[in-house]
Amino acid sequence: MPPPLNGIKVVDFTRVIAGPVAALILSDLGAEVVKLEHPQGGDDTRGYRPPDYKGLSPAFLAYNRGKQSVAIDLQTSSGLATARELINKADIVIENFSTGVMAKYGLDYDSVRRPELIYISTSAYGRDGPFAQQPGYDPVVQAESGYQSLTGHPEHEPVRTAIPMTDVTTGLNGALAALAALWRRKKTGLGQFVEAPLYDTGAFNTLPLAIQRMLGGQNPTRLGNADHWIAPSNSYIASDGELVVLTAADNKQFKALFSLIDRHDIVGTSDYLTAVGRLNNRDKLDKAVQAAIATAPAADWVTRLREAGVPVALLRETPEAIESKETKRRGLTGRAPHPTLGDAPELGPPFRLKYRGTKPAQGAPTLGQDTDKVLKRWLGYSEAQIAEINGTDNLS
Amino acid sequence: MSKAAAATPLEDLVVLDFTRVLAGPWASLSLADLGARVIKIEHPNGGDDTRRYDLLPDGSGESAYFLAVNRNKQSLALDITTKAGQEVIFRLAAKADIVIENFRADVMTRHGLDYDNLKQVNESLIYCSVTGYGHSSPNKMVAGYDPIAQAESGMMWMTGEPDGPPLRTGISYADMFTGMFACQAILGALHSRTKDGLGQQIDIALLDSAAAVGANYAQLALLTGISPKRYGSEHPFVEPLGNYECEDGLISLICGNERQWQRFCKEGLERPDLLKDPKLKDNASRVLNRDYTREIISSILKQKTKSEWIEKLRAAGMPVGIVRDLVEALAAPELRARGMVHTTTHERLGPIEQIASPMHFSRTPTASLTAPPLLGQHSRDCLAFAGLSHNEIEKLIQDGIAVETRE
Repeated sequence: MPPPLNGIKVVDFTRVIAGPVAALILSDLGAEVVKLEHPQGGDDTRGYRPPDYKGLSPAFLAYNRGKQSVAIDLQTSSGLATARELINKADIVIENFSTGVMAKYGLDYDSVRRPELIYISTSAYGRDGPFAQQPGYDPVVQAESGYQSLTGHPEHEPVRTAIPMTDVTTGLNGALAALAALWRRKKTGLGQFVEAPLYDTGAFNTLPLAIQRMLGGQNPTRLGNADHWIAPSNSYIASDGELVVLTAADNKQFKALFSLIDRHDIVGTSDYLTAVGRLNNRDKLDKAVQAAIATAPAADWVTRLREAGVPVALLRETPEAIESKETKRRGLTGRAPHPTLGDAPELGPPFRLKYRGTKPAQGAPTLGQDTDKVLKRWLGYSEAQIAEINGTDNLS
Repeated sequence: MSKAAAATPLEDLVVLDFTRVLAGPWASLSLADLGARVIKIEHPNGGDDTRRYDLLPDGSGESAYFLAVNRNKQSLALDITTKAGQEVIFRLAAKADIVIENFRADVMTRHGLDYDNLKQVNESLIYCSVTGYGHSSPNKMVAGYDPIAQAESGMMWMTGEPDGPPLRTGISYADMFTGMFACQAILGALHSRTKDGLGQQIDIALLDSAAAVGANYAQLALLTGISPKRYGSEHPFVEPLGNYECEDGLISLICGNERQWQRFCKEGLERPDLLKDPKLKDNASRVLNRDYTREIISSILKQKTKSEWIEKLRAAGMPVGIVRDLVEALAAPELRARGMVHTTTHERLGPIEQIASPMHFSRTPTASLTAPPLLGQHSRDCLAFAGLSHNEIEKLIQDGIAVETRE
């Protein structure tokens, strides 16, 4: 069975992370994604090195699997004309330039719109309003949205999360909006302009904590590894120095945990039989759990707690996580053909559609790898026209 | 439908939502925001666990957590462990497009409400299961929660100060990513369905989703077996990036490319001499000379206040922002200027504010917001939608199998 978006053509002007994540999802779901890159260096993330792997950037490889790279210079008239022709063949255009860039090239929605075209803009602060011109990146929006202030230990400064959460979620919302717009187009034949800005997603993501404040509650603070609603839920140090993460989210798990560690006095306290009661006694409960966890090695606790039905984990480093039996068994990792590496390891999409799979992985493209192929197949270009686009540069 | 005249993207879709807590409800929140009719099926005895998380100080008995992620949904309080309750689900499934559930792997099967059963009444049904480890996992019977997935996926390991312990993110991101991926998959399956009319089953796991967003770090670990260290608010591959101390607090900035670095030095810091320093000549050099780079930048930034730097650096076209707490963030002009805060009227609380969907459509807007429901607020409506007669509905309510809450 073909994947869901088989036959959908995407022209992708995005760089760095948020936009490329949106295009990645569409690609994983089977769309044909043509990534237009500047011939000089291409996507900025191609230069996010060190660390590198055989001259390539892991950041680029991570977010661009399955896409085709077409290198064209929008500042040349032939390059610009080619971009317009590609847009004319596309179902979806995605871009995340600074406000005004696409308009400068005459490639903004109003300039290229056709009734059926879906045009996705994942800008920083939106394409209109007083902040439209302001550039934005993940660390900036992590800071401005209040999210960073919620991450870290209460006695220390806020910490940015290593995974660029705002970028990734913006990309996911961009893809989601594209899918919803495609669904609507199936009903009506009409496309539209869709925005999923970084800042809006950053704010939306704070919703569970923000609403508390919006309802007149306190300004939430960062709690280290504890949870704002569930107690006990934290990381605890085992006798071998390893960290055990556990959470007791309901009465059943709470009873199972404190029975296992022989704290029947706590199980028998009626104050603790509600989520609110446990939350109000977070420190006391955390201390009791920590005292118990310190008496045995982490692996023992994971086995015992899991048997007792308490959600628990051993804190893993990234390689341990990738090589874990859970990841392997789920078929999340694999290898995909790559033009210079031979094949490259891949971490697959996290969704399984039972009867129509996602698209088999292809490694991320080298810069301009597919220029000739795409221009021939999409636009029927001759060798001479392709040579003009390529100029004298060797783009491979 | 509410007063909004324009069609929403998903307004013709009906979702049966059996999910609780955050990952599943985050998925159905997006579907609801996009205009689908989401019927949240809750146990009559208390409903979604989050209805009892950290109650509001006003004595209303409502919980902020529940209110945050259940707007635009209808609550049907129905006991699905009873035969009569299960019959109602079959009648609803016949009319629905999508089922989402996040019970442990055996629960829906035990109640006879698994995919194989429900598709008997509706072959176009899309059925999405969200679990901790996935239905094909050896841990399929193990409950999954956000902190567990953050720990097991390596997400926590990467987050935190270099000399401090691994850190959980301040928002339950493993849950939220899972919800978003579930949504992508559901919409993907809808597209497939238009080709042959057939639905399918979707299997989403918290651990898969948390691992999938490890992206560039995971890619490096896959390629080299090297585990990324914790960099606090810095970034292993990009410099400058992250938090810097000004005279009166923290700002966050990034030079995402060399053009920005040049503007940063020339127009922002007014130190064009830095562009001649070979240790700073490109991103790779600055990453290698991280301490040196940060020391120079910090010494300059400390001389002025946050707002002075924001003004100056923004004028130079730099991405920069103040590290805000949540109160400051919610009052921020950027948020208000985008119309991202809406007021809805809650059955019990009256007007409450909500952050709107971050997706903006030019032609088919997202749904205008309706407040999160009381437990069973829409039971009667939903049962009538399932095709039950007045008498059948009364009997279910009398028998306590369905519950209706009125204010």
